[in-house]
Amino acid sequence: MKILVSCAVLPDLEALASEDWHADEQKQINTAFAPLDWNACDESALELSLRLSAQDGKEPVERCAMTIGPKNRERFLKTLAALRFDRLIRIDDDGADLRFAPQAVAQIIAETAREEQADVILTGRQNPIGENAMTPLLVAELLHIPCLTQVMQMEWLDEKEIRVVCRVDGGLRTYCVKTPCVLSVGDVPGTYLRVPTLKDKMKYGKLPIAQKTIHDFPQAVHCLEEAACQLEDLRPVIQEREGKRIPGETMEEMVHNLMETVLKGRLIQE
Amino acid sequence: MEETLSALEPWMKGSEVLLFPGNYWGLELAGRLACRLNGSAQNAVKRLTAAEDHVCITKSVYGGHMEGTFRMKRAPYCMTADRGLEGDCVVSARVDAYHTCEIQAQSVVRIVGFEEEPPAAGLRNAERILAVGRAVKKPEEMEKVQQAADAIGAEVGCSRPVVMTALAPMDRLIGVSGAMTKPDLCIAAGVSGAPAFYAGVEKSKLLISVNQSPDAPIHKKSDYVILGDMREFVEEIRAYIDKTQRT
Repeated sequence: MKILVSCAVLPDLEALASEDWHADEQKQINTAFAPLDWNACDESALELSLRLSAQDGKEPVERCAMTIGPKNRERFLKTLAALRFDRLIRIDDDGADLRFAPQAVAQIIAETAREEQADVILTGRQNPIGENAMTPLLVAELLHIPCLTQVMQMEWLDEKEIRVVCRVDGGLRTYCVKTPCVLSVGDVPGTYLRVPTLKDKMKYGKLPIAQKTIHDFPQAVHCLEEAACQLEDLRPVIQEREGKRIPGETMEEMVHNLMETVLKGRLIQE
Repeated sequence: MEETLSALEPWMKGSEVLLFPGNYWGLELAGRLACRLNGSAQNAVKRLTAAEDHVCITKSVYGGHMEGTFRMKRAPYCMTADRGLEGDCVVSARVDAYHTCEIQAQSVVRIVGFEEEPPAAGLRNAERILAVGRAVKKPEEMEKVQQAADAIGAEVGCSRPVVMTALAPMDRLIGVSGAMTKPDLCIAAGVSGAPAFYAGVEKSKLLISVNQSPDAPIHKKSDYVILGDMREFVEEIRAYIDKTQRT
């Protein structure tokens, strides 16, 4: 059985100051100085893939991870090597603007899944830059396979079926789904990616990373050229209130002043 | 979902604009139908303007820090409404046609269980909220937050880092992935103020921030600011209420 995890490494958007949020003439935001980290939902997907593999008594599972981005993303893939992923793929975007191009990204993931003959394609719900939440859905459509979203838990039933718990409107639903399938992971508490040991880093960390470029995926390039949606404008969101500081030297004084001046009469005190 | 898509697809052909609610179901339908019908799709749309051969939509991008305007070039234009619009709009609509579709069960995906969850523990309709963020690091600190909230008659809400470390259940999450609130009073204590969280409290009538960092983004988005440790704040506010009730 083979799991393909598609994961993105992104700049930490919360590291930017308010004055950094302005677009240049190419409608780009400069995030070059921001530290990189896993996309939060993709990190959960990676951790869940490790838990799925660890189930006893089931057939061995091969794990493959792919990421789209420049060479500086490879150090994150090396972490996955140390976590004993079996295959790593980096697709260089060659400067292509994939921020708001879920169709192009989906083409790359779908084509990779076909080549790798993946039984389960795991990915995070969305990328905080594009905020479209469409990519996993489009991958499923391209491959004509089922897709389950807001995945919280997974368990193999047998080599061809998985039991999946998903958050749905109003509660948690449990499905049995036949592979191949796409599983899109949302917010799942307690799924930060485990840290490899130093011993595992030294033993497994040298797994070679397969390299491709976006030009190896002509359909993705076509999607970029014939995009269904085009960015017309990009503006910062300005949300400001008065921000009046409550005076006081100590927290006791500040709370007293808050309660006596601002909140007086606003709170029910029983 | 697979069955619903198969049933809906023939009925949606020829439509120009397909609007879906901003929930999980609506998002799946919008994205997958757009693909099957060779249209275009966008999620969490805040504004929509229509022209003869295209539509333009505005939505949040870059984690809520920016607003992007996109031209959707291929009909049908499938989109979901931004969750922040809930309750804002009163729309008068004329229903021209009403169809019911029969859904044939398939064997590829089977539903084998459902566990109902209470709707956001009253957070959405709360009049007072005490929201906490990543400054809370231990279960005992969350207990003190709950005690302070009880003292001021508030519901407890959290930002994403708190629920992701399982210090609070998911139904306490505030923001684009959780509850969208509109309280009379919101105290955001130990919260940095990331847009994904702020979207859930921006309709507060009165917003007070408590954060020891003077550069925390939440301060600029609040009516009043307390510069200090949120753990001291929850202790002091509870002590104040206790003292007031004794006198």
